[in-house]
Amino acid sequence: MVENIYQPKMMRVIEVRDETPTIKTFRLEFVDDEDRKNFTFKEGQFGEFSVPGSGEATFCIASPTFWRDYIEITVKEVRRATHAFHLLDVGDFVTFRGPYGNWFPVDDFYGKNVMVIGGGIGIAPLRGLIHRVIKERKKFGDFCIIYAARCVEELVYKEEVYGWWESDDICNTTLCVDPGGETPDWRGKVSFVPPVLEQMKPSPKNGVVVVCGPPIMIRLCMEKLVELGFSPDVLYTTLEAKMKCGLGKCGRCNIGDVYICKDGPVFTYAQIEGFPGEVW
Amino acid sequence: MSNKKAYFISDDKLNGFIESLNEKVPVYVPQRFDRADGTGIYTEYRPYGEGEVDLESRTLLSVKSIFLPQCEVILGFTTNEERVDVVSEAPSDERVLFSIRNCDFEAVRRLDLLFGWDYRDEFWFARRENTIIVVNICDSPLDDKCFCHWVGVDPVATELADCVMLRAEGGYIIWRISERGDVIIDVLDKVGADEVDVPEVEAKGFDNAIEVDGSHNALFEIFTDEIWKVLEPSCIGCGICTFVCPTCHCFEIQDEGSKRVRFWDYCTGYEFTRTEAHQPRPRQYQRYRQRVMHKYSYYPRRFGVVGCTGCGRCISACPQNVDIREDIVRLLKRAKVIK
Amino acid sequence: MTEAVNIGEEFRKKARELLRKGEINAVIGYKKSGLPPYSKPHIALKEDDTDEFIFDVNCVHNLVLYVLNYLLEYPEDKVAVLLKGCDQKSLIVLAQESKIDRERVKVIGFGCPGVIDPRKVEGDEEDAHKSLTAENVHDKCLYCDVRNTPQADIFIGEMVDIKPTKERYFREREFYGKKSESELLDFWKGAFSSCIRCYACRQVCPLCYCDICISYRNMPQWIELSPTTDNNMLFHVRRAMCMAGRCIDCGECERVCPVGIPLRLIYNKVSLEIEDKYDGYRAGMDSERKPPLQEYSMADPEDFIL
Repeated sequence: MVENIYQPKMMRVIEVRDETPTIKTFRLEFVDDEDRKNFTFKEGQFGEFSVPGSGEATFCIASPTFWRDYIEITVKEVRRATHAFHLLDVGDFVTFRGPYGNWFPVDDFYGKNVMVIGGGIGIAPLRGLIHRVIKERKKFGDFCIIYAARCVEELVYKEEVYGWWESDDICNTTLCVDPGGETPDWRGKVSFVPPVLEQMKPSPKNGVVVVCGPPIMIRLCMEKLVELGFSPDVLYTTLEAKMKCGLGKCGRCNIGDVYICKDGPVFTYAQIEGFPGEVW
Repeated sequence: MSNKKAYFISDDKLNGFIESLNEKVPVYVPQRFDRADGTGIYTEYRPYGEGEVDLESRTLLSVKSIFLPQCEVILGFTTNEERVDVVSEAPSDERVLFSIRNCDFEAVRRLDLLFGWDYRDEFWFARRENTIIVVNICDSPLDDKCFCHWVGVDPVATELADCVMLRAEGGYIIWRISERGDVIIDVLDKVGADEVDVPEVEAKGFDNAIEVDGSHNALFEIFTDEIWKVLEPSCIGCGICTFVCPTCHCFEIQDEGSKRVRFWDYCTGYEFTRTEAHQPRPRQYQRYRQRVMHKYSYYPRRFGVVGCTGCGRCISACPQNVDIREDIVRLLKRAKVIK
Repeated sequence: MTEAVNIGEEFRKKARELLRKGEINAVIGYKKSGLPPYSKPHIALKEDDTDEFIFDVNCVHNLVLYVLNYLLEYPEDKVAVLLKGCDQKSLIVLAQESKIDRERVKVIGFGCPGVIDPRKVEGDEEDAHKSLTAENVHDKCLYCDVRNTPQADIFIGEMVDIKPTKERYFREREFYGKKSESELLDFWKGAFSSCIRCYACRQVCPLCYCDICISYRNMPQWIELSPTTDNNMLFHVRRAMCMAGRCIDCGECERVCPVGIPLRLIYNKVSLEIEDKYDGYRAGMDSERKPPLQEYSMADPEDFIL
């Protein structure tokens, strides 16, 4: 039997964490040692995950590359496949195909000031990157995180995020929630992200910015950053579209002649500006 | 030409010949089926014996259905308490695909580029490699819906087929091109087909072509043009044109029970790109644009060939009588490629 | 092309006038397709677009679909539309279901002598499409009792007076009358095995307007999407339930089906049941009468409820 590109590898759930009422994080390990040994990926890549019998869904790998024994994914419950994930318990099986797509060129970020902007569950694709920067902190210039969510409850990876917030020596973290989403004891900002950027006025000099979140947020942040003097080719984001194969075959995720699964999901704003439309 | 020979098989012997061939290698051939409402027939490529052989009509579905079946199981799960295993099997039996037109054959070859793009889709290629192809060349268009000559398809091309056949008075002339075609020639010998010379073929009647090749970048430039909004208001967003199309390859993957199946999907439908969070193509004109642009702009930009082979099926099958040629002409005019 | 009724000229004039006055944003009618003898729907947004309008016996499409789609896109606009009597019934149903604001639609009516059923003469010479004959006339026209578009805001041309020659739903009465249950099951299994799930029947139906069709809902997955006979049957039977008391027999679903599944046999059967159970109710005939499945009455029959 020749290789079937749709043939997944088996993984086992070894930890489940509730992030918000509709979002859970799963820690997964390969069932076969062989698969575990052969597996490598890079920050920003994604995979096709599935609870057998409930259909595949596309998630980015939300853990850094140097966590050798397992990977993590963060899943928001929406329809059938993600609902099946939310019913999983430790010890259950899932299937995985991947890793697919391109990645954040982290090596190119060495020596530069890095700013990471996440919105809601959009922090998931950035989490690996953040961990990597923190681990290799000395290789980078200033490091700044802005994390926004609709309300306090919707913040994902709360423990980690509050940890980053408190370690000023490692990174400069700003947390914000949309107006109306704050709780009485909320100590972060109450604002959308573009006004925060306006206030912070990050210097475009020697800087790169990585943004991920809801499409509207990405667009507004990009526009604001360009206004602040950033060149579009140092502004990175990771796009999302309905995908079925992840391999460039099923013809679903294209924007013009660009396939998100093959040419993306990581794009610079300069690339996105060259797309004909249908991005946001 | 001189040391090559061809065979003439008359219409009355044709069925007997296909039957003998079918005993050696399974034959897929266009056959007629009654429509369920009794208002006529449609033809389709199916295993020999399911219907009445009809080689001269345009089949409802293209030969795509032979290489990328409308619905196929790509995986199965077996569960026991310890673990879940996935099993998959690619098709492997040799078969003959009898009487395919060059538009369909070209479409399959153009799709090879996609299915082999970085990740090789073995379901596709196993079928490609196991299929002996007998091309029925067209020395004249089937009807007024044929437009293969617009999109760079040679209706009388013979080089890449295993065998070639040509309609002649009262029957077909068949000759061999590649070694794999020998099995067909053997059977022709056996059923007593007459030896004749390989004919010189010239295609006639393929006139008034609008050259589409080379205009992909010009079309890409008019993506945001207002013309799309008024181009084809009659499109209702069904899947007929994509399902009958030999180059429309988009598919959906779903789990059904303990099986993972893939089946055709259509970009003209609302559900194609919709997710709970995002719908990049909420309007019908955007979905129609996706179909047209994918064929005439994105595919050539990506793979260097037009993603349409002019078989005319979308024109003959469209319930609202949308003629993609009219739209291409309007678009090319808009893009200033033609006057 | 022979015009079945001579309304083409008058309609073009009327359409031009309406657009010129500016009270109407779009006029929806028919034009010749690039493939004679067929016609296709045409939306005129400018006065000059109106020159293409025609009407002949090949103008089979139900234009209410295009009214609905247009108004969903531009809810503030007003449209005028040329409607045959049968098609106009679907506008009434949509108005009853508050899907279309009837105020935004100007119905241009006329006396319709009938249209052809393109499937009956498919592949025949062009002449077979030119005028109505006993061979090519659509079944629904044989028992039509709304030839002169009811509730038309503007009426053009002459009224026609042609009496029905067949009993309503004669084909269905005959079909279901002489088949046993197991024969029926076999028949439908055969018919649905050829369904390719292109959803043309759903897309062309002006009354199938759900944003997300139940066949695409997967929490739970009511209907699996792969085109197997069982799944196809489930899809079509479920759609018949959607159409109960709503289908107005425009026949579009059956016309568009690429493999010729006789869908009207299903929907008309359901209509017959509704007529029988709910005091002769016929969808789209009376805009004042509430659709039986949209209201609750103590007198509702319940003998068919399990």
